[in-house]
Amino acid sequence: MYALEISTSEHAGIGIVSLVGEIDANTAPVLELELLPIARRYNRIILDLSAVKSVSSVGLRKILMLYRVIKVHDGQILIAGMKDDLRSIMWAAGFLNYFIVAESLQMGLAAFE
Amino acid sequence: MLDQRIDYYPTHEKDGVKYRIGRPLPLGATIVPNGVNFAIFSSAATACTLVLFKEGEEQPYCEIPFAPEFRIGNIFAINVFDVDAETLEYGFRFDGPNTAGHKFDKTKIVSDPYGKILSGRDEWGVEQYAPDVYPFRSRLMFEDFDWEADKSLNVALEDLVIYEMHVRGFTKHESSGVAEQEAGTFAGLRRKIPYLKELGINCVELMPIFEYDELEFPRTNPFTGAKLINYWGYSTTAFFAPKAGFAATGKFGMQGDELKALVKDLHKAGIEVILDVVFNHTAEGDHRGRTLSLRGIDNKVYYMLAPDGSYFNFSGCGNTVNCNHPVVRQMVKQCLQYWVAEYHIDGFRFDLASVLGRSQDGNPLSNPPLLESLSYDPILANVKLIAEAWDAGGLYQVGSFPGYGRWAEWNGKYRDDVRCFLKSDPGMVGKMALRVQGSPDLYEFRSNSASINFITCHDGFTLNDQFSYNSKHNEANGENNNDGANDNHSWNCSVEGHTQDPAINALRERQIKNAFAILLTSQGVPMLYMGDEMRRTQHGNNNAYCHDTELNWLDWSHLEKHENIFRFVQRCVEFRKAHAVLRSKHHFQNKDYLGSGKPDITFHGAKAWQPDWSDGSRALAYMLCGAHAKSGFLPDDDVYVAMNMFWEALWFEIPELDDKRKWHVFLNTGADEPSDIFDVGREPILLDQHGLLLGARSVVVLVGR
Repeated sequence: MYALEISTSEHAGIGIVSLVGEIDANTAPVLELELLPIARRYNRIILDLSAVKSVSSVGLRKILMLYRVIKVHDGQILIAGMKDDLRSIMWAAGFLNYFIVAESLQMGLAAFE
Repeated sequence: MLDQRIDYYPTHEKDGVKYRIGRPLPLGATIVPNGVNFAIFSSAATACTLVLFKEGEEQPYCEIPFAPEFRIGNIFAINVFDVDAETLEYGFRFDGPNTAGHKFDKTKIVSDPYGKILSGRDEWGVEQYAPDVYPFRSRLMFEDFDWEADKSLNVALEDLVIYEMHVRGFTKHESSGVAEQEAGTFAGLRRKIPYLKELGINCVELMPIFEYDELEFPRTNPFTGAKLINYWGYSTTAFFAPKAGFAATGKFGMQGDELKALVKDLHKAGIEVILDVVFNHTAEGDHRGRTLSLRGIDNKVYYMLAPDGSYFNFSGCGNTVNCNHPVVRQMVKQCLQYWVAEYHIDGFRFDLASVLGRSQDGNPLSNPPLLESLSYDPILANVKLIAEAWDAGGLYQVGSFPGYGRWAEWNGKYRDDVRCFLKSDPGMVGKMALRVQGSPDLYEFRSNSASINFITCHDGFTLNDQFSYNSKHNEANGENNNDGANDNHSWNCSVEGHTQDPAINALRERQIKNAFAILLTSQGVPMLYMGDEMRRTQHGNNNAYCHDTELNWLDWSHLEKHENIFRFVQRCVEFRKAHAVLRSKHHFQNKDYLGSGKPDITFHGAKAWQPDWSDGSRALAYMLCGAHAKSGFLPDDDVYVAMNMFWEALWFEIPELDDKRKWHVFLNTGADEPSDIFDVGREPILLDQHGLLLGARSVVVLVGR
């Protein structure tokens, strides 16, 4: 049983990945398997992190990987519900500006529309 | 196709870890398609074992002895399959002799000299691992930062205004306004880029940011009992690794990304990045020191040893890196190449650089192979190379450092002569004439840009303290005030330390302005020290290397208190950038080689055209001919600088301008604020075009247009 639940859906051509739990060295490989096909299929993706308790360095790398894959076809990623500490880390590491940021999934959908 | 290659598959297995022979180059740990390739040099080891850890665990999960066939020449090479590069920590165990200068110890695990990340101090001041197993551990780094279109700014050396700074000290103080989790980090510095832009500098020189152990000192502050900290960091533990403790993301292992994000944004702001690098010694110290890396890998190769096997100590820090050994100089060169290619660093200032010119037996070389190879290296072709051209073994090479037309030097003579002139010492006028024109006496066959001019730096008093203390006050360092320089050429303006006396405070303030005015109009490359622009004080401590306290952290409330000094410095920097005549690459010829009507530089005294070179003189003026700016390629206004360090006011007759142009007053440190300095380009006309009364211990700068 992984400490991360991953659910995927689609809304108006936007791929939505909702995560519940922790993204760490144990759960990140599974996340990668789920994310890669979505990154290739959709041009716009929302990553809903509002129920994510913590993200380790490995998890940060996976989010970055998602960006690199989608950038190949000029896609965009919106991160919804990101906690302040994660936002601070992503800013410090220099890749917050690769993503669109929204407070919640609903606001993210509105932002994309 | 890769899996069809025979070398895709392992040949050996131990404890479930699969491996095969590796490739000897590149040295270090390299992520390859099916795992990680490890390659490490040792000429004298009899055996080597790769030791693998999972992040956070005290004990290794696997130790793999290198099979005899895995040793290619003097390099041990192994390719380990299916390792988790994110969480792997690794090291090596070497066996070999422990006599005649060798220091092999198979009970110790040592880190990779080429390691790109070193864990152990992921958070500043926090000991991660017990010291007895493997406290400082090599790690892999992902080199996937998105630089977009960032490239080197390639600002000409003579056009730089350098700001020497300490990453942690810049934003650690709560007055910085930086959020707690970013205070004292690369990210914190990045938040403050707008301040650096406002100040106007176009280059930061970061005091050491290679990994070091801030907890290495056993001593305590004799007054507070608090542990003394290696705050400055001139004590490298990993040459290729940025200091995690300087990164808000250090505990995520993302210090590399954070530093790159800083460099990228500094470049966007037009600011270059020079690193202060310490190759002269390492944190392993002398024979009593810890075995962390080089000592346990190949002591006789990496360190300079006396015939009896003891350490030569040209660094004053216990050991001396054997920089001109072919293997060691290769490592130094590859390290610098890596920082340029991977981190987009624009230049390096080499701590105690004279060590880099010593032979393996310690003698100074006339043509040191390391310095020559750095000078002609294609990857380092456009970066700035700056020497601290002396060492602790008595070698003093200011003006004679082997430069190969590339190297600049911290001009210690500029510092000393300007300090002496500022405190009205006799016999300084002739020396000042040389210092303000780029020290042609020292750099006759080089250019002005060989001279990095500075009055203060991390070593010594802050500029505020230079005029507040006659003597050092280093008791808190726990060395009975025996450490730190004694030849400070400082002057307390008649009271030692803080005073309420308004006359003394006014004099100190004027002296600070005099110093900035002289520094920022001198030919050469000016370097400012962090906080001097807001009168930072260390309360008379002139060697504050060991205090991670408010003594060192920049107190930003000074900015409000001394806004007048900040404004003064800011305008001086702007004036320098606006006037090419102050930034000549080539030495002046003391003649009119363009037919403009006057020579490129002329000297004056209280009487125009008649400088007083006598011993008792404390006054000097000079005029720069704008037509000769940048050797005539970038014509500029004329500039006249008058310096009166006599203790009474003097009337200075000014050379007349030869056409309809007029002298305008840019600054006059003897004038009351706000008339001490004016906006660049909006300087008021000097009322009497024939002369001016220059106050006691004052500097005037005029611009003729």
